[in-house]
Amino acid sequence: MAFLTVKGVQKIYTTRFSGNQTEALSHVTFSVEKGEFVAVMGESGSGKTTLLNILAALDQPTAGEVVLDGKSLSSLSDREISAFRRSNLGFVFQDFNLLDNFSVKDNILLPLVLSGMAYESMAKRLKPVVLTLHIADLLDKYPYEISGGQKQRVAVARALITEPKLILADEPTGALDSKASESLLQTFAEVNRAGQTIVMVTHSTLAASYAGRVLFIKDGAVFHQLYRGEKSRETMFREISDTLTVLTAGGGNHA
Amino acid sequence: MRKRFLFSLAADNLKKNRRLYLPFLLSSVLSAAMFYIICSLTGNTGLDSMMGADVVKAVMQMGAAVVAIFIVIFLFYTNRFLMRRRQKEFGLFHILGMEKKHIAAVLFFESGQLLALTLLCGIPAGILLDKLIYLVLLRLMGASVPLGFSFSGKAAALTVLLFALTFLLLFLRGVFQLRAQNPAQLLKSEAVGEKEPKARWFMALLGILCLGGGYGISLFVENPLQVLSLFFVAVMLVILGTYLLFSAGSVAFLKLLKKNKKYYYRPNHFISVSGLIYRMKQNAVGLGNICILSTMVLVMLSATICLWLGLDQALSQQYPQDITVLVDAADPDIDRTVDQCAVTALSANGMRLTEKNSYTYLSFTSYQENENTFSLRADYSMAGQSRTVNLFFMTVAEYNRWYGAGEQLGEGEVLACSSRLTLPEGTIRIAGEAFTIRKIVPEMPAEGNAAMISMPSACFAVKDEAVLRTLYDKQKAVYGDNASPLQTYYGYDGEGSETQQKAAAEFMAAHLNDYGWTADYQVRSRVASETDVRSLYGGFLFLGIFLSILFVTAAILIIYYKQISEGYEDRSRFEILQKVGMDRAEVKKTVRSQILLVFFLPLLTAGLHLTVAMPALIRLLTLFSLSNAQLFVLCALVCFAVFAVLYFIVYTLTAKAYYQIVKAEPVS
Repeated sequence: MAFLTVKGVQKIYTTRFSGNQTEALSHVTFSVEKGEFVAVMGESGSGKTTLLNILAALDQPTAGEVVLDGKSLSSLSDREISAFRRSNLGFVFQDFNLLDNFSVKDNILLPLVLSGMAYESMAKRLKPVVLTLHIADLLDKYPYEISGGQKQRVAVARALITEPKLILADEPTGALDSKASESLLQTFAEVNRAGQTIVMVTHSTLAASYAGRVLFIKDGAVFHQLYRGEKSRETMFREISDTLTVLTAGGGNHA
Repeated sequence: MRKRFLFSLAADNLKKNRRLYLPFLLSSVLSAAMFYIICSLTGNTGLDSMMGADVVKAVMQMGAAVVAIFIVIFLFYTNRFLMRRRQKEFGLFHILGMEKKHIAAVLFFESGQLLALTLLCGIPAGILLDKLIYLVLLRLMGASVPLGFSFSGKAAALTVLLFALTFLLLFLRGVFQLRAQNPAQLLKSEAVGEKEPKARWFMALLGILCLGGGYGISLFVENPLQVLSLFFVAVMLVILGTYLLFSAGSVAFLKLLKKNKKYYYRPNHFISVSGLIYRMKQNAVGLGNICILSTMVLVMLSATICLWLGLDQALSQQYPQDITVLVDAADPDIDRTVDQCAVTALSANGMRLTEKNSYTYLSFTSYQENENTFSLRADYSMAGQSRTVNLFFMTVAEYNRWYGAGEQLGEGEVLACSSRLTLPEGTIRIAGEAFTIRKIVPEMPAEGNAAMISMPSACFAVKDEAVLRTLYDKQKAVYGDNASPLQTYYGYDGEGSETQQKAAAEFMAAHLNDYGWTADYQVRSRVASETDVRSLYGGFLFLGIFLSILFVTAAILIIYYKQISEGYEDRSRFEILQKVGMDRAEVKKTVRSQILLVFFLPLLTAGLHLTVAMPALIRLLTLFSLSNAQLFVLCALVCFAVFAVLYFIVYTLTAKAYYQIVKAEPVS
């Protein structure tokens, strides 16, 4: 059994006033193995973010099922969901979502504090994480005092510190310049090599080229996927951009 | 750029930002109404007809000044919050090609429009509210109160002046902030937290000094008239001290909490402590405002309620008997005629004499050189100085008769009593004569008279009338024409209706002259004065309740405004918190603990202020012939309890409203 299984997920939004129905996801099925780094690509409006929200248990699918490590997300009660999210999932957002009233250190510790961990154990976990992410000297600063790239590293540290089963990243490079992007993605790859499972939603070819596998979503369904295998990053980059050209040109279903 | 364009841009801005501006406008309108009402009450001609109008007016003017200062601080506080939210917009205008002077012009028009709205709504609201509260209270008290309803042009003018000045200052501060920053800074300034303030020892020290000064005035100034003149200073010092300590003290306190890792890194402490530090300055001013308003309410209510409840006691102290006659003489022949007249007066009005009493006394002012020396000084400017003491003497024989006691005095011995001075053991010198205090007694009949006089007093029972005469001669020699005569008190009780009582007193006042003596005299009737005093104290109670309603409204408004506006600011914070895995119940718990801290600090401080203000207030109340410390303490306690309950209700409601705002769904 795969680590993360998405089975026939459908999501239909009903607009509040007119009652019109919009199908954001029609039928999405895929699975992720433990230790994989998967990128989900697609144009704006293809349903990427909806999919990620469903994976994060922030939103419920209209039909279908998501199973993480043998546990179906739809079986969780409202109360359990927060705790589940806290202990199993780590999030990295496009706009960082750091809290301005906490120092960098406190931002990273936040999820641990919320789950009621003792301070000594938190401090023990903090050290290796900040070393991996090269932010050890930023700990006493505040989010408004550091650069975008640094902020995103802090956000990654916050996601990693809970030792989650799965990291969900939503356009993590969206607000970064190319240099900061590359360095962040290298970090992702590094973390992944150490065994961390990552699912990243992006529309940046560069970002996706760091992943082990790329899923392409079009019109609410998985349209195609690419495996890296032994390919170099440059080859991967070219193949992704070719696929995207086909995708935008409106080719048939290859999945 | 054309003026008209800037003007309408300003109007547009206000409309667009109405969610931000509405609470600000509401509070400025209510402040204007409040200030108008207080000014109009101070100038109310109805007050003039009240006894003790001078004191009331002095207190009211003081109150108006405090409220004015308070309003300026309050508007600065709320406006600062607004401006922070708008910096980004100004940055955008700047980038779109508006020069700073144009933005300043927009700001100017905005301020002008806000000012106009404030005054156009505030003053009519003040007039209406004035009338409304007046009618409601009149109903509640069921008494006639000598305060009429009127429109006061002077009050309106003062209100316009105060608010025009405040808004001008607000505008200038806005321009100053604009000049200090470049567009890039403006664009992102909303996100930048207030710099974590350093624990400012100088401010904390100054705060302690101010508070100490204010507290000192209350604790150590003994003369009620001096208390009255220094009260305003004390109030100002305490207000300043409160603000300073709240800003400097809260920093130190929260930092201490933060340093304690075991405490700080718990889920709800973590979020509330960091949230409070983030907005420390704002919080300090807001909490200070709430604290000061609460203190004012508590002080006014407990004082006026205590006066009202102590009325009967004050009356029976001032008028121990139904009909009182004071004659400036000590003469057995006169004694007989006054008694005779009383019997005639009572029986002529169908009443029966049930009890009569009389004693001769001497009362004059002296200068207290040191603890046990009271000397005579001829300069009369000394009234109001703290060392002026009113002395009262009667014979021990008459003391015994009054109380049914059996005290015996040897040569040069006295019985002594004072409610406001601590008399030494042993020997004292009065006007050059040496006396030995044989015993300190709890009361003397003249204490009631002394209570009406605002200076400290001491009463003595001396061996015999010869001593009285010696003292009389001594003070006559120094004071000359201003010397006090020997006086005789006659008191009569008789059963009868209010009209009978009044008629009997009037009869005596008219016929005492018929007996052929020429000494000055006055006749007082308890029932007649009771009506006067009741309406006077009713007036005080009315003022107290009226102003309390006003201040409580203001305090609730601030609390609510503070929580709502911060709720909108905190909303995004809580969104993020929910994204990283905080559930609803935890959000609720955090909100509760955060608001709890914010709420109960001011209440406790107000309680402390009230406690320390008690000595000063008890002394001030003696100006209104009330010297009952227990009653005052009781009133203060009850007021505090009731206020705390009300406060708690507001807290619950506010916490709920705040929670509604921040709980909003995380993402789509």
